[in-house]
Amino acid sequence: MAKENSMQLFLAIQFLAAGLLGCPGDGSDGASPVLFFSSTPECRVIAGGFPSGFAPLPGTGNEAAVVQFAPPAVFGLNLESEPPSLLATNPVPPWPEIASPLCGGNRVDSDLDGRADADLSQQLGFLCQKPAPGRLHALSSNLVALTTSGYEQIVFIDPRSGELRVNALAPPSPSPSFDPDDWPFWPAAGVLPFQSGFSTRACVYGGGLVDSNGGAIGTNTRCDGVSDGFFTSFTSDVAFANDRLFVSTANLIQSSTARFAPGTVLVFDLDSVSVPPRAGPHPTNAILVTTGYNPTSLTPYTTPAGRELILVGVSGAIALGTGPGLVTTDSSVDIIDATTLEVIATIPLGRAGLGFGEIAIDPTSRIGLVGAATERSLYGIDLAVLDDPTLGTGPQTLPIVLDGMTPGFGDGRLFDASTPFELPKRPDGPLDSTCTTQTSVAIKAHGFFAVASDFCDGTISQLDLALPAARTTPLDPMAVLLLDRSIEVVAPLVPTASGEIRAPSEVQIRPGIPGVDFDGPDVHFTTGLPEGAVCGARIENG
Amino acid sequence: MTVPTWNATRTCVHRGRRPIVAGRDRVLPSYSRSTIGSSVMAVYSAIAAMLVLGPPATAAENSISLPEEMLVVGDPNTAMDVLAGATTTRIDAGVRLLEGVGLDDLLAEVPGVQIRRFGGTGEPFEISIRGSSPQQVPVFLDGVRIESALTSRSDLSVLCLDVLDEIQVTRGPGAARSGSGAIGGVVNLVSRTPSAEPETRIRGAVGNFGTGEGSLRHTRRIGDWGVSLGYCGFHTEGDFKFQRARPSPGGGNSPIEPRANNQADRHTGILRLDRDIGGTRLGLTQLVNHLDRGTPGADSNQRFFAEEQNLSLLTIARLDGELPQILRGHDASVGNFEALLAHRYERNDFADPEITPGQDLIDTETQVHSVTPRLSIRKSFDTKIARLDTGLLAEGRFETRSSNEANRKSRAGMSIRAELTSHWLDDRLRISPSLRFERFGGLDSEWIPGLFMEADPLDWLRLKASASRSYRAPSFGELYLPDKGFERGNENLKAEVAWNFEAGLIAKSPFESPWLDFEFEATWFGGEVDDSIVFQQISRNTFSYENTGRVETRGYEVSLRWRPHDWLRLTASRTVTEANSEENGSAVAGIARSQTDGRLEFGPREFWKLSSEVQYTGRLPVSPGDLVGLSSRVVWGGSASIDLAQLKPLPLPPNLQSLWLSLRARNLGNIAVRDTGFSPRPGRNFTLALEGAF
Repeated sequence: MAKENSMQLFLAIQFLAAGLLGCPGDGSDGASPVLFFSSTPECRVIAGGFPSGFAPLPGTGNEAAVVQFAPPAVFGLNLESEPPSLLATNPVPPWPEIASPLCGGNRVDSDLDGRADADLSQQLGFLCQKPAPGRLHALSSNLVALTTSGYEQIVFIDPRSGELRVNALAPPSPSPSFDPDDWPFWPAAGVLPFQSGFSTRACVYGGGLVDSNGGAIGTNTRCDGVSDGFFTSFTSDVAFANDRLFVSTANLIQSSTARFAPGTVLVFDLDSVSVPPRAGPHPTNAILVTTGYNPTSLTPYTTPAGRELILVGVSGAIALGTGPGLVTTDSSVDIIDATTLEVIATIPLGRAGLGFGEIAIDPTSRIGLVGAATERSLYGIDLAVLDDPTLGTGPQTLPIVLDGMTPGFGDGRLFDASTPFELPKRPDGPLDSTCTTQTSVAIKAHGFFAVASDFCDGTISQLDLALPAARTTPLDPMAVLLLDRSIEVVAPLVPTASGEIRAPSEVQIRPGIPGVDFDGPDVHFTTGLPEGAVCGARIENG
Repeated sequence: MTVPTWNATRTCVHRGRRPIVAGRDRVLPSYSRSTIGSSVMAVYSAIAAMLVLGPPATAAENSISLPEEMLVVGDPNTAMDVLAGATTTRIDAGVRLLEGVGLDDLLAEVPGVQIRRFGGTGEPFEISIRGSSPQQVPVFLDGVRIESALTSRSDLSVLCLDVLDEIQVTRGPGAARSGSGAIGGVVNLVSRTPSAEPETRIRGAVGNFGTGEGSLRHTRRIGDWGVSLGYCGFHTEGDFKFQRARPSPGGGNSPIEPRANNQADRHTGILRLDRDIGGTRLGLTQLVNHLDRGTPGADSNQRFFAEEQNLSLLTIARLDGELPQILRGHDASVGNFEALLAHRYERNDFADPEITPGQDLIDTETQVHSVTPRLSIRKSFDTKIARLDTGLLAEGRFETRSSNEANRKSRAGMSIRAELTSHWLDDRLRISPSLRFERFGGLDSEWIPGLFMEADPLDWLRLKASASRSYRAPSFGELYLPDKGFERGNENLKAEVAWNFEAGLIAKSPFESPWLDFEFEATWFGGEVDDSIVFQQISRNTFSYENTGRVETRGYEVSLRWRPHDWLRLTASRTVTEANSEENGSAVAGIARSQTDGRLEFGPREFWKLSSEVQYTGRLPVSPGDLVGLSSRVVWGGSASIDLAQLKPLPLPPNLQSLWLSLRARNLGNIAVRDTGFSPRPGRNFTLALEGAF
């Protein structure tokens, strides 16, 4: 009897264990977990820390697109509301995810090729990389091109809905100037798959290539294994000109030693007339090598004569950390002819460490201003030197150095490493030895003032432009740009400001007259602490 | 949580995530696989086998000497003296262990305590008391610090209840007693003391997600020596399914997916020896922990190969007893002394071979040694108007850190403490002033005064109040984190300094009727912490530790314990905490504004019992400034346990004193629970356990 009781009890325990231990929950019986982000009256808060991209949308100037870093998304914003509101009327959808047999778990499929990005990356020998969103460029009011790195590509997104948009991938046929093996993520010619992204991974070859630390770049087994070469990486910016997409890649090798491979700009033909649009590497000049290391920005520029150029902000190798001496190689602005697809000129700026935003161009196309990555300064170039129609078309060896030392050509340097335009320091801001700031600049589309943000100080400086009427009149660095005032728009990056919105970065100015053409803020900027945000402030007439 | 930023040189900067290695080749040392872990386990196994196979245990009660949980105010305990007026909760570990609870479950039930879990059973968790940071709650074992000198944090997931006898949680100012770090409160874990009667307990449990654990405890006397030996092992695959959190602005997926790389193996062994030598007691304690655990990281960016290994050894030698006659003098009153020497060794290895473009391989190895000598004397005096209990303590600390990424660093410190507890009016009024002086190398000297008072105006009513200064010296990691460009330590850090206040009452039922057997407690607390140390971004792409401004905490705790019948016990508590920066009013991240707990227990505790628990957690800010938060939640759990040995028809060994079978259920509602923005916790899960005592 006792033995029977024991057996019954034992079986009951076994049954209980099997039943209960076999049915664990997954936490899905209640509402799905949501991280609630609260905006402020001035700032639209988004996830993922520092927004990696912020660009105006064509049109009235009252709309912009901003990049949410994590989870990746692009939001269109209505800048007329305070704080800026989303253009999307429905919830912005996530990038799709697919099971990843090679890399584990669910991984994103940002290019909509039916495979997890990490899986394809692993298969092609680049390990399990995922796309980290970067900068963006508006192709139209409902289409932006977004860079991603890790899984190197350009992704097309509708900012008004946040949805991915497909293009047809149309690579050129194999030729002496185009080897499909150097573009491993691209399909074969003629296949024309529809995808929302195309790869910016390409093999770059060249004799005598050296990295930013002076080390030789030898052969690469993932390239042809014979010639010196490397694969592009760290896609940094994208611009559109002359029916082509230009994409810069920084080619970082190791951040701890500030080691970069030579910078590159890739060229893709974009047929936006076809439905869907078609994109593919240029068949003959798909890869351009910059004069320096770490190209971080691309700015389309059309000369008064109508010549389409691309201005490449080559920042130079920049080390991690704080304090002076972080910039280890020279900066420059390289000039690419968007028609001939050549680097035709360069404006050397010394060890400036150019900022990562686009070059701001004034309404008369005379001056180009760019921020700094490690200084409380702005740098600038004189665009008049690019008016010369013989620039890049003559017998001179390219690129032509526009530093005033090349016979027959002008000096494009206005503010360089030796003569920067210095912004004022906030009295209660952090010490420069603790916080190494970065700046970003924008010029009003129909006015003659500029604004510049200061990352560490949390300020926006209003600057007045005083340009001579004649393009042939040399620019006086002491007079062309003047500080009007500095406004403390957010808290400085000091320890006691923990919890406050701070660390402004990219800035934009709305066109029109504030108070007349629109109410509310005229300047919008991104911030990264304590969360990512897009904020507005009234600067002009404020 | 530090989220990736992309700027400057286009490097993705987030704390500690930068590998470049193909494949899953581990780069971890082999010591943990073959040397210390298995050697120690072999020793303990041999000792355990020897003891267990000794003379059969005589029949002994399976008695529960302490109530399951009791609130103590000013009750001195040999393991951790508690000042009169300090609010301490003492929890009997053994009783609740029979229900299958974990250490985090017990701590979470204490008013004023918030537990931040980073996963399920066996995964790390942190303690916050009254709005403090985890670094502001030092943890002691038998009165000796066990928090890491590297981080000032304690990962109590490496310990198991099986090796503990009691858990003491002191809320509020404790630095006057405990020294550096005790700003929010103090947790003291009391190991199992050797008992006069031999006893052996064996426990085994299985749970969801491939979880299994077992323990063996034995205590007996061998000659003049009391011996207590314990071992517990734990394994989990940790592959619970969860739903990823999505941000309200949009863009996030919220699939149900398994938690990857979440396996854990833990081994804990403790040996405690006591011996009386002519009225003086000699005690030796050796605690060994080994942990091997995957670190999956954020749910939105799971790391599939990152791994952590931790080994810690704590050795305590203690001598305590009555003061020698030469120190007593002509005074016939009794005095006690305690001399203690403790050494703690900790080794931590972390590696992540998963590649991140442009980043270096992560393979960090750190070792820390801490040595603590201590001498304390206590003596009581009777005067005409009051009884005075006096105490004097002198303590030293020496710590050294070595790492494969940085130069060796060392520091030393000393402290002296004097205190007095005066008893007035037939012990109805107690006043305890105390003063501690502490100095750490490289920091300013700190004077830490405290004043504690409690009064019993009525037999059923106790009033208490206290005010005390506290401070916390920066940890090794905060000071000397190697400069890697994107993160670094700060050798200029100042100590955190705080003032804490509390006032409250405890009311026990004055009625005879058992239906009115209740205890009610209410405490208001407040505090101000200056120079709080926070890891934050200080530059474009650099993070470091900084002294931030003043943080103010205010709140209250109320709790009720009601026992209308021997079979029915009800406890309920509510804590409201406001923790804000005084500089800008922004809320401190990670502190839920309110927490309400309820527990109902039914049944004859000595035979069987059913329990039901509910916990409500209010809105939880997960970002400084309260820009991001998790909504409130209600989580249900419960347990059922029965002593099979008391079921007469079962043929059980005659020397089996008890055989408890228990089933514990967590998160019965199967809701998505998380205490941080990016670390999910499991849904509904169960644990089935069987524990026998011989």
